[in-house]
Amino acid sequence: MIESITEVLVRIDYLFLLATALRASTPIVFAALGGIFSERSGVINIALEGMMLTSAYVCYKAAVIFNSPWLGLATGVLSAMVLALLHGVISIRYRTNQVVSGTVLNIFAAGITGFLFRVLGAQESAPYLPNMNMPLVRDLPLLGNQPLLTWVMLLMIALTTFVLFRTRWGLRTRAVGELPRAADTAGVAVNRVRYVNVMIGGMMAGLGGAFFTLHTVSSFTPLMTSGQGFIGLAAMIFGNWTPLPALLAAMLFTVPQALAGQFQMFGVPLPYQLISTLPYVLTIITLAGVVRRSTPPAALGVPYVK
Amino acid sequence: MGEPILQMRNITKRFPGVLANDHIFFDLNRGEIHALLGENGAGKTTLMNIFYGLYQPDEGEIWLNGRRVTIHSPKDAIALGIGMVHQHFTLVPTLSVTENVILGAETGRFGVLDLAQPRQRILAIARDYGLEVDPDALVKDLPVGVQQRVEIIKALYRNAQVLILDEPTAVLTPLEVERLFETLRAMVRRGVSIIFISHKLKEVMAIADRITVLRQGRVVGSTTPAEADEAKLASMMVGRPVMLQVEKLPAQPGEVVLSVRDLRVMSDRRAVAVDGVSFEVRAGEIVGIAGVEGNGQSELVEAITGLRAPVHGTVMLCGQPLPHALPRAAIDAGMSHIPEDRHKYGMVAQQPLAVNLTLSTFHQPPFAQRGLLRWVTIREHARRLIREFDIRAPHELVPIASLSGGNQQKSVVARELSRPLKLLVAAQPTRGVDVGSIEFIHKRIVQARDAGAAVLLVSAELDEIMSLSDRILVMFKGHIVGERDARTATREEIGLLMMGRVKEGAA
Repeated sequence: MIESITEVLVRIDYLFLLATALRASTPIVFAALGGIFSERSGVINIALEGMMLTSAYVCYKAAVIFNSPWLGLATGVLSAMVLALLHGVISIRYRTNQVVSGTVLNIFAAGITGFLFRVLGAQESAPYLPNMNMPLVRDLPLLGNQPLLTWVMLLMIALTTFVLFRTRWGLRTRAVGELPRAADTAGVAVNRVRYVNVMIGGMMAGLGGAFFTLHTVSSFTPLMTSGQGFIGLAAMIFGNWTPLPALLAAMLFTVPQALAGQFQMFGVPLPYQLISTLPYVLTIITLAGVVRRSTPPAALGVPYVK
Repeated sequence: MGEPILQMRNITKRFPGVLANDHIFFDLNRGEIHALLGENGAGKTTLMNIFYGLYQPDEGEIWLNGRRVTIHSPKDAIALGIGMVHQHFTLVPTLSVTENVILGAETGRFGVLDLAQPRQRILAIARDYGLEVDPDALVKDLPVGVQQRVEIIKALYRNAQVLILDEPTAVLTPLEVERLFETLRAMVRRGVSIIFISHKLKEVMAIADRITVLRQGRVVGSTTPAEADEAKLASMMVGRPVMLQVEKLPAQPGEVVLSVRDLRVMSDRRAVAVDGVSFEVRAGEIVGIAGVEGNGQSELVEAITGLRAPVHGTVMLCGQPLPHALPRAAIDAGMSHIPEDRHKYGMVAQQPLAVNLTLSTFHQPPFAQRGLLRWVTIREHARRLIREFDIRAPHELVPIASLSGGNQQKSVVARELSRPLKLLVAAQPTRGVDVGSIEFIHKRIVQARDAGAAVLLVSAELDEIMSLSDRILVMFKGHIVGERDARTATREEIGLLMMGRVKEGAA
């Protein structure tokens, strides 16, 4: 068995492996970016999973109805932002415990999408978003022929980094998440900054959700986001609430996943179930070693009261 | 000096159950330093928070530059040229000095931050007013004295014409206070008007042009340093004559009671907080540990009282080594402890006063027998202490949290002094306590000394150290950097030692 594993390791196309992992990282990174906006402003957001799931369903349904992946995308992202607004109202305005609010929204999202799926069905396939397969671009290493949303994800990493550390909005966001009183006495409207950031977080989760139904498969199945929103939060923590490290953290999860796929393809005689636990085990191990050293925003989870 | 820039007329502010400001009149002239003096809870900060837009007054008017203004938020206040340096700083630790200064007043096109130009302006302000600071440093890496400079720069950056300073000297060493005063004078020369909130008489006398005293939400009177003296100001604050000097006879040191040998203690952040400290305290003497807060005093006290395990060294009480991190062993050996933070270590806030007065001995006779509490004895004991220590409480069963800060502290002192003691460790024993209670607590500590107890006093208030101690140790960065006889030591000398400037040979 050892020989067959080494043999496979030699035969693998590693560039292909990385490209697969990058593609699979797309929704995870969107969730992580959503988490970064929300939590940098001081609002815990574990509802990203539910927002992704909702968006995945709405993207699918709207794309079918309008017969346009673009309108599907827009509607799906909007639905995730509505959920985000709800999370904002519950946790900022009514100062409910943010983990409770997030949990409730996750359960709600799972329930409503499952219900609608059963009532309305999902037989027709939705129109796809394009892959980046135009001439020249097609042949780029790693990036060629990737889903449009993977490119958007990479763009958003750059954009988020810039906004967070180079703009007025980013400065205010960081201040509000660390010491809201300081921002308040400097004339910054704390809760407004938080609302907007939670909504941006919803938008990111919405984009992540679209990846499931407008790229991967063209239909919806209940609970199809399968915890990737939570893995996104883990990547956010592992990446210390910064975008690029969050991508690398996501790859830590998706590379073993892609490797597991290769093992299976080459028929390594390991039980499939065991191989597919590999990414999760690795995530737990790295997180256990890293979380202690990461520093969350100081005001995370604390509603602001004047 | 000249025409009034600010007039607050008839300001009234009520909080549930409290009249925080009762028809207050207060004015400020251009280029003047007007001190607002009063005890904790007198309403100084409330009045200034109204002026800064953090609270809305229930009644009254604010006039600025001859115009009536309503200030709904700090944003309005900033726009009107008002700056405030809060007692608890409003700086974001993880941001740089420049980022903190520009927060809320950012410049740059299309929302993109411009950091270069503000950086130059900060350096210019720093030069003009003697507020040296590295604009690129992260605030969390700066000592508190420098953080305060950042707060002042923040106000000046916004072109503040009126600057409110709320207890600005609480965190400073005497030398830093002197430096702050120079900065304030430089600001006044450039036409800035300053409201200086304090409860420290010496400083108010040194810096103010005018002094207004508040007591229980009302203006008691206004005066000038030329017309008043410290005793007069103190009695205005308290409402009765106050003894400012601690009366005590020379110490008569006896046997060594506390002996600390080569103690090494880590802080919560796993840094070395106490680094090889050794000293002794004898029966019948008060040894004061001076130092700017955060130089290892808290960790030292916690190691001695058994709240924190040292990594090296021993603590001996009357020749017996104390086991590490066992507070009850320390109590049973005859140690009393007035902790620096009564809310954290000194009391159980929602429990009745009577319970709080027996916290360290409730498990022993006469308060407990066969594992059951004896309430009658506990309540009798409480009533006795309430009388003896003049604790103002309706009765012994009210939650201790419902008492004023001064009375809470008196309760802690009463409990710790009411059992037979060999050593009293008093950390910041008068923090957040009114002048009247300070006088009382000081008297009781001296009484404990005269009854033969050894007393270790830790305080950030240099005045308290100077007036109460018989011997003074100065702590700096985890070391004891000097020892002085309290009768011959000067404020200046101790102040220099607190900054780590060691000039041995003077003792």
